[in-house]
Amino acid sequence: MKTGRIIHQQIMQLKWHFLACLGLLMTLPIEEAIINLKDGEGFYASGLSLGIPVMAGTLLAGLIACGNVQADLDERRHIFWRSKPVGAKSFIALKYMVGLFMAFLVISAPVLFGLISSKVHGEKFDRAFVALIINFQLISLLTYSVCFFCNALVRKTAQAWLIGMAIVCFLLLVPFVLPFRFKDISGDFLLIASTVYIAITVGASLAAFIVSLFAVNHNWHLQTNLKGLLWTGATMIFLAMLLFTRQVANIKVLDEIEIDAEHAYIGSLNRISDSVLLASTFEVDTNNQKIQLVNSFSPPSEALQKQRQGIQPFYTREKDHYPEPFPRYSVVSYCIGEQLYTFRLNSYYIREKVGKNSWAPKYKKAYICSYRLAEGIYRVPVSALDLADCIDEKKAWKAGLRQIDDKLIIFIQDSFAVIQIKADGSLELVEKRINGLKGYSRHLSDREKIFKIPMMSIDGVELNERVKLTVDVNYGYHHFYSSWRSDNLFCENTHVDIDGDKISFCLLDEGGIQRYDVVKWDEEYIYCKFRDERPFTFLEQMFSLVTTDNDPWFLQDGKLYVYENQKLMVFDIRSNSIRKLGHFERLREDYRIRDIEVLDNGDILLCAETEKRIITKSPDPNRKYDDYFIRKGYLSLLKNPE
Amino acid sequence: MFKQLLWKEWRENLWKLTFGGAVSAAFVLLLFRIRLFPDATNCVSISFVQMLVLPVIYALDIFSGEMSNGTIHLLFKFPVPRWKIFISKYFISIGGFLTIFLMSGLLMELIAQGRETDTGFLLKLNASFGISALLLFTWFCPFGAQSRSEAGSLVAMFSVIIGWGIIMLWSGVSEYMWIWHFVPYQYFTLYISENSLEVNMLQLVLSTGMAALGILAVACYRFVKVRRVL
Repeated sequence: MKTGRIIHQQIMQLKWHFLACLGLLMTLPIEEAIINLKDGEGFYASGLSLGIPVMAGTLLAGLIACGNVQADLDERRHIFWRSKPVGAKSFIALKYMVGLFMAFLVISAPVLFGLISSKVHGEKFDRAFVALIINFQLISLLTYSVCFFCNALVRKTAQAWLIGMAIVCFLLLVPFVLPFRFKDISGDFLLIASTVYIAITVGASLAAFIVSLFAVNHNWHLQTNLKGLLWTGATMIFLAMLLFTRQVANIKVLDEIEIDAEHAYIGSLNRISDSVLLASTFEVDTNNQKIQLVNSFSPPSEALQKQRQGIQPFYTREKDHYPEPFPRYSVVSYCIGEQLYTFRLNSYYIREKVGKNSWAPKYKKAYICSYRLAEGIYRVPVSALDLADCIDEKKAWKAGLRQIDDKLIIFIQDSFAVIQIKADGSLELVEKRINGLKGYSRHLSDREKIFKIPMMSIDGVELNERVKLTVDVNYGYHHFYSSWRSDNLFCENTHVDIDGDKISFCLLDEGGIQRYDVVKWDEEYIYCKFRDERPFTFLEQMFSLVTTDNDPWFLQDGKLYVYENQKLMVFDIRSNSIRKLGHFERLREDYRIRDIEVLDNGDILLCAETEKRIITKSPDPNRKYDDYFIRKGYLSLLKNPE
Repeated sequence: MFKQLLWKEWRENLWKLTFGGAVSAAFVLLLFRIRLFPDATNCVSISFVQMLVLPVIYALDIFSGEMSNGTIHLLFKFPVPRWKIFISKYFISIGGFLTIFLMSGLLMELIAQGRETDTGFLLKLNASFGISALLLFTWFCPFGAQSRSEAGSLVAMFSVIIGWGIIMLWSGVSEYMWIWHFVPYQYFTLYISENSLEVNMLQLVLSTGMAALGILAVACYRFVKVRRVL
């Protein structure tokens, strides 16, 4: 029999499946293109409408495989073609190839439409989306081959498709079960070309094809008595798999204790020298992976009381002046010898009437103050510097503070001052730049281009630290300052990662994490370029969204920590692609993560609170119900994922 | 006779319960052990796949199987109204896949007890997907009632799944939000999307319920009139 005729027969057999599947997959991109055309944007489909067809393509590939096999291998027909002068192996090989070709035509159609129409329209797909498409094409190859094989054995369309899909799902989970250090379905698989997955998809497809050839050649047909054996075998393999599995990506809780709810607030964990303080009252001891709270609070001694009374206040607050300290929640500390000093920017405002019933703060005074810590937690004022001339009453208030070695950089609106911390803890002004901060420099929407951020010129600060400060000021002070949860982030944490001579930084938005490289710098600017992006998956954004306005995030030792009320995620940002290392989630009623602190040994200390509303019947005859809140605080020690 | 019909359907569809239950349990055990995602996300992933696959498994050959094997003629010769045959098929199917939903939900609760979520949350989440699956299955019935091959049924079911997805997306883009009251997926989105919580629950139950009853009547009618197309 001629090959061409067999191919023709196979194509004719599959044409209805082909057309139906093509119709299903093309509907969404064409719908989007029509909507775009109606909106006057042009006839094109973006990545938005391609996601569903690309994923559904894997299911349809399996369906085409089942339809393909069943057309010639069902009980009656396989006797018919076996009587024809064609080898079973070559017939089934042709069948496999023709079906595969048609399946790929169907699956590729929406992608090609999207690619071509976007290109004509001038839109470009990013690299991650192209990788995603390629990976799903590989999965489609796998589903096609496995379903083909299953149907060759089972000879029932529905059952073969289901068994095939179940096997494919297990195969896709295998790398996470085996010790490949796979942790992130996006960063380790979907958004990159992973050799492990290429090997699995291509290898398993090839194996399924070869076994199918033998199965059809020898007319292997899964008999009822073999089904029990197969079920038992599958169960044994599965149980063995379970036995050797480990937890992949959840962050392990080493210890958890309940604390007074009053101690669980934003910025409640503070690192002072080598120790971590909770609510400025308890020292947190985490030896042997157990949390112990050591109460550092004791009434001040008489000598200390006398000493504090004897000190003249650096500023006598006027009656209508309201104080506002910065940082409000956290502590900026520096150790000189055995003595600890803390620093705070104390500002004062008056209330100015702006309407009938409203007022706005007008800042009048600002002092940077240093304190000596005595008897553990008591602050004894040491010195203060007046920075009132940095205040511009016409501009909106914002303040920041960063300590670099023995220097303090104070930011007030668009001005900054560099302060030297002297050996006795007193402060000395090095330089003051009124309106010396250059404006916020936005990165470019064209990710191929290099963009520049004005370099901060501060004498006596190491170059790397200047680059770090410049980026943090640009993205942390200028842009994200409005975040009410993150005042301590600018003081203590950074968006920049310095790995040897490589400097990179990360930015976050609701869509995902973007990584930028600092390519070069000079006295005027630092030059940056977009490197890659790791979008938040739909699954990660479910239940609670990560929003950069309120949710703090920071970089430390090559890891990005991002948390919101109920979720903490840790990402590795030094590997080739940004990958999630772990997650901690408590989807409980009113669970709120308040603060986290990464300890020296890498473990994570997490402070959280819960607030449960209780409604009871009121004893008051005028009221039906009474309600009150039960608040609880928690301190958890988490293992930092590697 | 109705009892006998139920018994027949139960026996014929037992493999689906066994297969679906075993695969669901296997994935619950595996995913909740390796914890690639948080528990609630695992629950959503598994329930979502169940929502798409279980109604398909049940609807795949429940009507077309009888036609392709020719047993539909035998079935119609029984002294029982045809609508009862249809109803017996419908009830056994929904009973079957809702049992799998219940079982997997309980298994999830058992494994993840007190771990990351409040007690009962995973079960509730699972149940919301179960309701969506029930509605989806009901929508499959009119399209599968006269289908003569499994592959044809499968294509029809994919059309329903993708079709509702397209309608949901399009109505969202075009801001015809009233359409969402008829979308089968609306129930599970109640839990995973904060915006959907504004939906009036009573209105939603009434609209989807009425639509499901209407579509069920159409499916029943198509099944009763099946001889005309055979």
